[in-house]
Amino acid sequence: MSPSTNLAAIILAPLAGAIVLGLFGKRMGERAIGVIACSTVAASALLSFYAFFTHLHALEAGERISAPLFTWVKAGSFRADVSLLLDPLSGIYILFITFIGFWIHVFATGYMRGDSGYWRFFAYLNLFMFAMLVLVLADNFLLMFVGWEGVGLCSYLLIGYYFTKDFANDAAKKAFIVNRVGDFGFALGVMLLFLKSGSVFFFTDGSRGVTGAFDWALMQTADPLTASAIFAGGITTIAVLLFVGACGKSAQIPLFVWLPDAMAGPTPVSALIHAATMVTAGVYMVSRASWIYVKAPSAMMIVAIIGAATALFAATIAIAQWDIKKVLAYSTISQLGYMFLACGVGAFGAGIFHVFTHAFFKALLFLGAGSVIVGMHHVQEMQRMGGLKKYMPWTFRTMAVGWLAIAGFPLLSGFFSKDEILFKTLTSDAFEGVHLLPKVLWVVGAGTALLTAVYMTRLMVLTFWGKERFSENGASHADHGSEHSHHAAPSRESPPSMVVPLVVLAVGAITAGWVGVPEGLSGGHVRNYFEHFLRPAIAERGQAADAADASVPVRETFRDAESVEPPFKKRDVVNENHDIEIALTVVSSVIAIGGLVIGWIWFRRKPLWQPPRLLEEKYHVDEAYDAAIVEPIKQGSSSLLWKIIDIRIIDGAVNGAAALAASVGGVIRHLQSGLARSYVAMVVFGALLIIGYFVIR
Amino acid sequence: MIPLSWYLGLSALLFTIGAVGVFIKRNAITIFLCIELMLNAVNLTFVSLSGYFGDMGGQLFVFIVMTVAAAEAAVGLAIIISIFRNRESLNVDDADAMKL
Repeated sequence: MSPSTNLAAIILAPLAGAIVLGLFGKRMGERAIGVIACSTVAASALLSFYAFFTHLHALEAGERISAPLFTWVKAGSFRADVSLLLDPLSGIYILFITFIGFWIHVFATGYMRGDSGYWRFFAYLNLFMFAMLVLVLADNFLLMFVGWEGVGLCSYLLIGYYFTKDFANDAAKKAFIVNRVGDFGFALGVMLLFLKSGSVFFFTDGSRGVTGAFDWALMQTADPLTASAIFAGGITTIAVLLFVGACGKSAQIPLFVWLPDAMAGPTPVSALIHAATMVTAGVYMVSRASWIYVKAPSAMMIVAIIGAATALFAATIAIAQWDIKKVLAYSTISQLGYMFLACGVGAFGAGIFHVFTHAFFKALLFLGAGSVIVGMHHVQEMQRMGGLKKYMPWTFRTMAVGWLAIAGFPLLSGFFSKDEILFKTLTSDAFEGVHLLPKVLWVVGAGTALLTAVYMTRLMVLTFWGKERFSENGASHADHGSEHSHHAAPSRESPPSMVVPLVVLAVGAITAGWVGVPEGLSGGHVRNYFEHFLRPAIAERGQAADAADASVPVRETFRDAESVEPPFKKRDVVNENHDIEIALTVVSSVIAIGGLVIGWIWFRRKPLWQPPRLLEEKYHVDEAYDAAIVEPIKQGSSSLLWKIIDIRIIDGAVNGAAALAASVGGVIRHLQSGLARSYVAMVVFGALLIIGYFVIR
Repeated sequence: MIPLSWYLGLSALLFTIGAVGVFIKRNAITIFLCIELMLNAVNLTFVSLSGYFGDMGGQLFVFIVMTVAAAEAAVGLAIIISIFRNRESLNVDDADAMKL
């Protein structure tokens, strides 16, 4: 199979599923729908694995597998192709997207059983897979933007899946509108990049005669670390604008408000789109554009600070939420903040590694939550759970794995990725002249890690341990879940279609971290495979120095990267860093276990501890946005745009034209007396006037 | 030999009588007759000027006017009959449907 066919088939299989289900699904049975939906994603997953592993050696050597399909737009100097790119970064993404996507599809066949919109749900879900794969496989910004908007659309459709409910529609609109803000930044960033570099392609491809924007970026000298660089219209401006897009899609401050509300969608959607895949698109995009970011230290600093701030901010909210899905939603925002923190300090590889591990354990946690919600007959408030361990043993066991993984329990996946990020943060040299910043960021990151362990323990304790509170009234905190609650105890474990994916993802949550064991843990003897593998796809600070010599083809420099240490890292520094890394690993293990213990003691004793109002009400961010943005727009719209511009000016012009015609007619109509003789009189007078004119002249 | 001015004076007199008749009369038939009177007053100027200038064009044009007048008489009488059928009246002031 040629690479083009292979890569094209990966994205087309889910599209075919979406089309078939969308057109004919209404008349199919649930079983047929489930088979079609899962099999197309399974095909896509198998093809992804095939593509990845047949080209593994080429990818390791830093080659890029390009699959040009056709030229899409060609206008003047602007060109964009529909062409796919398999490199280490997109390779990793397609693996976990299709793999986790498949298991979530399987889970959903059980979760959505009996729902009247079964076919619609799976058509959207397949369409989402298509869009997400286009996003990550695109080899230029324009095609990426197509996937970017496609996932946004599917997210909107799936959040608003229960379209008869107002809160779902509101949440869907909120997600869409907040994402528009980010997408606007992204589009502007791409336009500016085209203006500056003359290309929207990522990399140069001589066989098609395209030049890459990143190769242009490589030739630029880095902007200084100043605030004015942000507005200078140069590479820093591009990077910041792209990050605005990432903020929207990946729910970072200030655009994170849509993600918690997005939990109005069915739980598999929350797992697939709002935890494992789509929300990490922003991290993907920033890592993809790492070639630009390394030249823009001010933008890196913004990314790091926003990431760290979001991580801490969301973690503090997560500790005070009662809705099980809301806890996980804020946890997702917090973990995404971690990923951006990694990107911001220049450790793009560590960020992607956390994306990878997070996809497993967060999808697992969401699906586990979905299983609990089904078992509890759609109760989502944790005050009304408790003691579920004995009713749902498998859900409990698998979720416990996810809980330990996200908390960073040693040797589980989250431990390695989080550890790597904290280590890279502390030893970062991305901010020359601001030496304190990496330390501050590390403290924030470590604090977040502690909070993560605590709030996840709270979630587990409230759900699975303690006394059963099924019949207690939690209406004071009741969210929308209470509308169809029956005060009923869970009857049994969920069906196999739901438990099997949980088990598979639990295995992933344990083992996913093992592909990227930090080098320091073995004293530098075993290299970090994951990071090493990603290196050709990711720019590093200082790489420009050796590539700035324009005559060297960029491709060559990647091959060299295999054998040559990056120039800015000297040997002894690396060894010294290994010692720091081991020390930090101990510290983060202590933090993780400490958090688990604190959470355990605290919430076993007082499971229904009343959190501070401010946290429970999410710092009133929604209210603040409402007052600062939504209300002024509404006020401005109704008092200025509606009452003055529309009614006075636009309607005034239209009605005024009619009124003018009417008033002129009102005067002139008196000539139409209906008396034939008066008409004759007019004719005669007219004739006399004309004759008189000629006579007098 | 009668001078030209007499012919023109007579024709102006006939035309004025016709025009005033159209103004002041209400009976549709009378108005119609007055219109014919005006047409023939014009015809009189045509033939008298034709004789005066020795040009046959004027006499030729009178035939055209008479033909048109005949056609107009046919149409006009038909309209008058139609109005009478609808309104049981020949008074033109009753036919004021266009008045607001």
